[in-house]
Amino acid sequence: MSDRDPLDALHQPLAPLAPDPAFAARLRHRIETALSGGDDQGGPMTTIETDDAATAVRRPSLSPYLAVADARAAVAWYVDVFAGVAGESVEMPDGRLGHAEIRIGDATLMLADEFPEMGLLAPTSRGGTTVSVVVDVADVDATTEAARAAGATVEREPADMPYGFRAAAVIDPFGHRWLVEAPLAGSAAAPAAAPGRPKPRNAHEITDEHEVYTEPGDIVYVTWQVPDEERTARFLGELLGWTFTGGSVEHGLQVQGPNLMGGLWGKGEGAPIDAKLMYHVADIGAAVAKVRELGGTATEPELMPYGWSADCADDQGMEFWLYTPAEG
Amino acid sequence: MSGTAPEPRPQGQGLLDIYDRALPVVYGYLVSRVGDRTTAEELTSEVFLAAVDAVQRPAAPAVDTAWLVGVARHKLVDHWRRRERDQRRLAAVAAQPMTDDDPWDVRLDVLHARDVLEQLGPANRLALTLRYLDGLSIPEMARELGRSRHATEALVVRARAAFRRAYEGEEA
Repeated sequence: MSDRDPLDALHQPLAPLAPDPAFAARLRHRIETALSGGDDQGGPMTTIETDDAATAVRRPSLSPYLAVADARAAVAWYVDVFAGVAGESVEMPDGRLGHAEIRIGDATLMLADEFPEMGLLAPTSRGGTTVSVVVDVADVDATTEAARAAGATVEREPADMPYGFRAAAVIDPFGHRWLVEAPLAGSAAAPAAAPGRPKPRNAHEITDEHEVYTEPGDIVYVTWQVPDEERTARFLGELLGWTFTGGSVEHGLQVQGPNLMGGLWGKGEGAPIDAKLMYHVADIGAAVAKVRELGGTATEPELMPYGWSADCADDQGMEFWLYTPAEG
Repeated sequence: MSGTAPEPRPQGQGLLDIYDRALPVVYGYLVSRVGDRTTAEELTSEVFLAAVDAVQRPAAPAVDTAWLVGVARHKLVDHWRRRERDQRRLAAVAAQPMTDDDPWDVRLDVLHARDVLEQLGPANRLALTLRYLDGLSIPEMARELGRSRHATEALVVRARAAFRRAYEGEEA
């Protein structure tokens, strides 16, 4: 190269540029998941591939992503009025919330502060919203009243609609418009198969991938205790078409195929084979006391990543776990 | 969503600690070289996931911003080599002159030059980006590309010639 090279003018020193905050938040989540997943996979011997698609967090095909003028206040408002559960949030260096998530029923509401430099403006800055979000709640009238009390404008009072829902329309203090709805009892829109939907307080997750709704008395989880979980996975996979992904314990595999929360736990050669159930109870402390009173045995409740759990056996020795959600 | 994942191991925490600071640097480096945000986001993700792998190895390197930018440069090289392979499948590369004896003494209009750069094929873009945007020397480039100095120099000469043709053709 000669000393004087006109192309030297192309030199571009490092110039930091903040990416889309939603992208930054997603990537951080992926890194955290990847970093914490190192111990949890079945090890290098596993024959069952867990690809990105299988381990990605399950969520509906559409998720609302709102821009609001005060994201922190909005998170508090939506958690309060819609009985949501605040999830992760990402604070930007300038103090704005770049990303926040609120679990409402089986959906995730995402939101962030305004980023005018990226054209992301809240309805209050634009002079109104063009989008309404439909939210299913347990009690339309109660939610509407809670929203009104918390500063929302009720645009349409609760009323029974011909499409089988009771519905109201409210504009929240941040300018977003919500259609608050619940199926009318006995209508075709209230299938018995989805009774858990309006009960977000009972939502809990056994893993990041799966979510179920249960009530005290329900079976929450089935653990098949087997000598070799890989063999069982192959057998059941062939027989029933089930698929599995790495579980949260060593030699654990999570059932992915059927509409069932369950997993395999390889306990080594010669281990007794059984299926161990986990039951949801309202108060694990009281339930443990009850187990003992009935002649069974129970460990002290322990806080696990998925909630409180106690290892029990009944008065004949049949083993089971008790479970109570950590919150709610 | 939170609370269900176990704590990252200590060496992973270091990566998370520098994430907010390092992300704009890595992303800024990539978006200014590949030119489109989607590709820059994909490559940025690859960089950080490669870092996750690296910090979990027994002899983990010290992962800092400079290390991440180095990985970003590898990812850029891989990206343009993939593109180059894809294009070769579609069409044979037109024979290009190997020499650039004619001295070229102009003052580049940098904005225009960047447009021209984006129109070049992946191989030429890769060579010019490493040599001029990143300011690597020929020996540094040769190490990055895993080629001999002579072959690397030939790549740069060919890329300069292609750039000049495009730049002057555009100006005419």
